[in-house]
Amino acid sequence: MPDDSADVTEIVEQARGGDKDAWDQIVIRFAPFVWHVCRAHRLSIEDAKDVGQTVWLSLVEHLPRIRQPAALPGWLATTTRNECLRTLRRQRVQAEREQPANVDLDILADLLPSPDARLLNGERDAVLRAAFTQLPPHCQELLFLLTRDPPLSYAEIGERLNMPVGAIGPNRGRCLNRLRRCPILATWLRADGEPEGDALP
Amino acid sequence: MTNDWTDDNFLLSALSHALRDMDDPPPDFITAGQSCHAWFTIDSELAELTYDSARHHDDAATRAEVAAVQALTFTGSHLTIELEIEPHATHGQIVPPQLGEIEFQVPDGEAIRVRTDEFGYFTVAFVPSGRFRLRCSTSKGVVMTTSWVTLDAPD
Repeated sequence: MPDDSADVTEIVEQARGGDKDAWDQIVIRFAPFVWHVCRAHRLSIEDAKDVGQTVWLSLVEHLPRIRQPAALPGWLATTTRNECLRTLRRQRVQAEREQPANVDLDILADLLPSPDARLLNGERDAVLRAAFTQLPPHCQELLFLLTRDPPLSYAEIGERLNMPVGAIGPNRGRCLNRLRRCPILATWLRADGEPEGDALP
Repeated sequence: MTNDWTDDNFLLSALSHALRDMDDPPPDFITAGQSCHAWFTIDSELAELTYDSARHHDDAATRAEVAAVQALTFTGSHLTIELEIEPHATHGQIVPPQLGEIEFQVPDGEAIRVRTDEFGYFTVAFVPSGRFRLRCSTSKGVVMTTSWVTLDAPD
């Protein structure tokens, strides 16, 4: 059983020398995040698995060349997100080919809940997930770790992100602010507060 | 708890609920990731995809031509590999020309190997689809692996 407290730098160092256990540990540690970003982009299970494979193959390939092991979480977040967007674009191109009338949806609109979803209790969750996917990778990674159940300690989060514990609080605040200001969430909050929606000039 | 969206603790717990509601990765998502370690290589140079005709429609004379043959170029610091993927065969060349072996690798399957002639040319009755990469080793001692590429499934 690998030591779960080993910090990310150490594990990456071992993995890039070819250590299979260290690699397995990286996957165990980061798979929930990769999976979750895929699902937040509303990818199907099959598409999420496909994105996962791309991400891990790409990481295996780049591992010997990673100069800053501490950059791994950010690299993973960016790569996963780009792959999700690529999958969504591919789906959109395919949909356009099959149904040319349906060309005006952009990726942002794809992520917004459909009108029917407004009726469901899950709408707030859908909006929050959509807003979450719009955050920069470092915020996604930090907020993801801050919302684990059971909760992780700041010390553990600091270790995983290679971030001083003292920096977590301020970053938490900044990232939550960005989340709040995400157009999807901000728009939804305004609509939620003013159901008539005719207060705009 | 009141719905005070300006409150960090409320926002975080709402996000927490939204994210928690999502499923955990299935076990095969993790094992699939772990098995990618099989493709770990430390000895070879990495060549990146630098040209893909499917993404450069403007360069091509007609779209029909593009559809019939997909051309890919992988560039490394010692070698370039040109690939032309036709409906029933794949042709290619390594530049500068030299004898060598090209291996088509796919994530879950057997590799296809082909030797180049002295001019670096090779032809194989194999058409990659989905995800693959090339590994090339030459008589001059170059060992190079390309990045993984994913070809869109034909319509």
